[in-house]
Amino acid sequence: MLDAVGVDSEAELFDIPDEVAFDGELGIEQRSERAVVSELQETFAQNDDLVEFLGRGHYSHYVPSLVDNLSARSEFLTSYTQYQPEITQGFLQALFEYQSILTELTGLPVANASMYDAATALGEAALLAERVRAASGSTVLVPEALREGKRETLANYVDGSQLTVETYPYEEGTVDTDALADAVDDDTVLLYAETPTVAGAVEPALETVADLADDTDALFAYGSDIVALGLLEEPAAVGADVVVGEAASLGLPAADGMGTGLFACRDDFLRQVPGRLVGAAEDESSRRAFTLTLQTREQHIRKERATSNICTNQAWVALRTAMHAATLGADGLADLADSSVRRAHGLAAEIDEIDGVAAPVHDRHHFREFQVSVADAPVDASETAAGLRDHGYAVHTVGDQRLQVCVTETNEHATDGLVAALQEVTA
Amino acid sequence: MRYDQARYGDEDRYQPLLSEKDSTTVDPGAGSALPDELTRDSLELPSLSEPELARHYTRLSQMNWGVESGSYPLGSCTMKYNPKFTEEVAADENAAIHPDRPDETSQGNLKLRYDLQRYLADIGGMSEVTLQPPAGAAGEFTGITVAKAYHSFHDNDKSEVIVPASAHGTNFATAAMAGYDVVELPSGEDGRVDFEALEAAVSEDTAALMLTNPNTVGLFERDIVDIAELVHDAGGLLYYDGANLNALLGRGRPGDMGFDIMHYNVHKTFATPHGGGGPGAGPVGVVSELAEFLPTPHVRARNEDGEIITDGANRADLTYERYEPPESIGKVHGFDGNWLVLAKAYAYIARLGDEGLRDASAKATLNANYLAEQLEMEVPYGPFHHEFAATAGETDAADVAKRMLDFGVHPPTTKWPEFVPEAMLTEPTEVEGQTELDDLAAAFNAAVGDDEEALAAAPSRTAASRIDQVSAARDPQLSWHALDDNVGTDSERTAADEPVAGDD
Repeated sequence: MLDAVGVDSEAELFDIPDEVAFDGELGIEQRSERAVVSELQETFAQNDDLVEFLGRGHYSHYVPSLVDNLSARSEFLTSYTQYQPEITQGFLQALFEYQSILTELTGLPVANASMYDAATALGEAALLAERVRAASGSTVLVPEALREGKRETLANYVDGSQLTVETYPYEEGTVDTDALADAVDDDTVLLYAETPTVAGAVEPALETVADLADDTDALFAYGSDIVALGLLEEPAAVGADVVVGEAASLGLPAADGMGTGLFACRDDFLRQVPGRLVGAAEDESSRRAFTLTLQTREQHIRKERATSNICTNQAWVALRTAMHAATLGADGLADLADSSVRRAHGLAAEIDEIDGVAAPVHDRHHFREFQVSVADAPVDASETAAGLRDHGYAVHTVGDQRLQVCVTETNEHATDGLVAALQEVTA
Repeated sequence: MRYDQARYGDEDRYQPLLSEKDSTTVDPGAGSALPDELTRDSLELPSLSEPELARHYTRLSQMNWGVESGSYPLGSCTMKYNPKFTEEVAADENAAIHPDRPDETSQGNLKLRYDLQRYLADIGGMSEVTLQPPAGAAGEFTGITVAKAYHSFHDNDKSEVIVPASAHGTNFATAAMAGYDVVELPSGEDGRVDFEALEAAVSEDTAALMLTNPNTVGLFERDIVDIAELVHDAGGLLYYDGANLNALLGRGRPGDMGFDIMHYNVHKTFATPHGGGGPGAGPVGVVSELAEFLPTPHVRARNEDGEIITDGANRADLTYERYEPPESIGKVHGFDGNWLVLAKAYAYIARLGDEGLRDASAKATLNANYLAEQLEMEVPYGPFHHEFAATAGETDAADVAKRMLDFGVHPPTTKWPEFVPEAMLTEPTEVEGQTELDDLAAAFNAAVGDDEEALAAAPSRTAASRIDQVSAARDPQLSWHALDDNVGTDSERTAADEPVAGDD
């Protein structure tokens, strides 16, 4: 091959001026496959072996074996964006099915083929609101109790726009509707509310929120996650204009924060949607087929006038999410969602039995998780959490006097142990 | 090579949709632990047995093309083989943890993050690297946001970002998203940055120049030192788009060339699977003056005496902690980015080491040059490195690409970059052997030499024949519900979608 190219060595092919060429050592030692595998097994074994009762936006559900197995097929895993639809019908159809499942769950007619995660999807929702509601203001209203990752990501997304972010208060863990009514004004362009909230409370006032948004011609962005949507009132039915949230609660196990952004919206925003869309099409043989569509919104065509800079998204996770949802079916998903309520209520009731400990803190229905008060216990929240870690359990601390506990089918086996340990630690 | 893709279906459609097999409708509210007013009363989802689902997805996979199916020379996408063992490593159950654990209980994952930060910093010649951005475009946005924070901190009044015409579309979109005016720089006659045009474009308003090097036709920007000086003298920063870093591995480092900020596309350069369009990861490296602006949390290491160790990759005596850099821009992702992708990238780099990384850039560049030699097509400009843009001349590059599909290869990126007429941007990567490259060349040559009729009829061996993308965009049907309703939006017609690629 060198002869064919007419050089004696590959080095001759490089056109890097001497003054900037690198001829030093990076110092990265080459290792065998076996050595890397065992090195990383040792590295990961340095993580403490804890049963996690952690949530707050990142959840662990049991992922059926079918998902791991079939998503690992190399035709899926090692492919890329479907620029040639004729040879990538399989992935296109899977993404179309993912979009369809989100359409069913949200009641909204347009769902994209994924964003990076819930936080970036919220950022994109704000920018969408600016595009479609530019005339009516510049304020984005979000709850004061918002995970910092969402708040900060949103702040960075709107920093280059005319938008500013303001917060409204919660009461009893959900929207304080009177305070919200005071906060909303003609300048509001997007009103964001979550259910379940970051503390796991199911929001009872969504219709009021939707009405308040509607009154000022603002968009109502509804934040949720894909499992909760299997049980909660359909977002479109309560007046959501956009739905954002976490989709990888189905499809991925705990993955140190990796997720997938769910994004759905009303039909009239179709030309302003960020990210990729798969649509049905016809081929030369008049058969139904699938293709990426409305690409004139996207950066590779529209450049600085694109609806977003996103290119690579979370397609493979979206494939897994669709596989997981299809494995569950309507029955299975509704059951998983309902058991997320029952498990949270059940564990909260058990914890509430402990002297000096109260749960749930908020007088609300809860989904998967809830807050626990240790205000009347002799230890504060961080001491309690540290004590629980010594027993092999991880929980969140929220301020000095609260814990947050998340329960799913993956840690349910350890709830008795958690309750016993909590009793001991707070005694 | 003779090739026929699997094709399931009947006269009206290919593999039926999940919803066309069987569906069940339930009332989730019935018997729920939640009161009626909080629950939905209907949910309809497909209802298939596990064997039916397994068959469904197996068939869909057979109607798809991946790197393991055959050549996939998409230019600027670096479609390498994805080593199997990296999947095993990333799937380690001990690593499947929640990001909110305290640092002392997550030392394993934090160690990998720290070591990867150091490896990437060394490979790029940068001081510090954040792993938080979840894709290349997210890396660009992070990098430009860091630049904005730096300028704001120093009270620099900057309003423009300069982007060459040959750049990825994401560069333009990113700069605009960050609130900058985009100044487009025309390509010079030699395909590189036109230095005189750059001198005219750079001003005290310049916040940054975004450059891909080698650029999107594989050419190294020979004037890079002068370019850096020009931008720096105006108080601007130089941003490196890492899409083409594969060409430089172990041979050139953006930091040594004067770049201040760079992103790495680990799904390209470091062989993590592209996954049908993601997930990727877009770590961002910066020089020391910019490290204080990086996203939070950042990972650092301490030795047994509690001293911070800034260059301690692969040591067993350190402890790791997350912290907030003093002038941090905050977060660009809800948590800490695409963990699984980062773990695979670390494994790949560790397997290759210095020697393997230099080998990768050597073979990638030799392969591109060898392939170009075999083509009966004009390849303008040069000398190129890991990729080149051949021109289909009078023929429509999109047609040539469709015809190539019939020869058992994936075609290159077409009609981009725009300054090469009917461009076919080709990046074979280091993974192809001579036989595969010869087959790929044969596919190019057969397709580009074919008559109009054959080109128009292509492809015929893929699952679907030529797809009408114009009609699809005119009447968008984006879910199986839309197929049922058959509701079109005829009033909203749009220009034809061009099938092109560009990536981050």
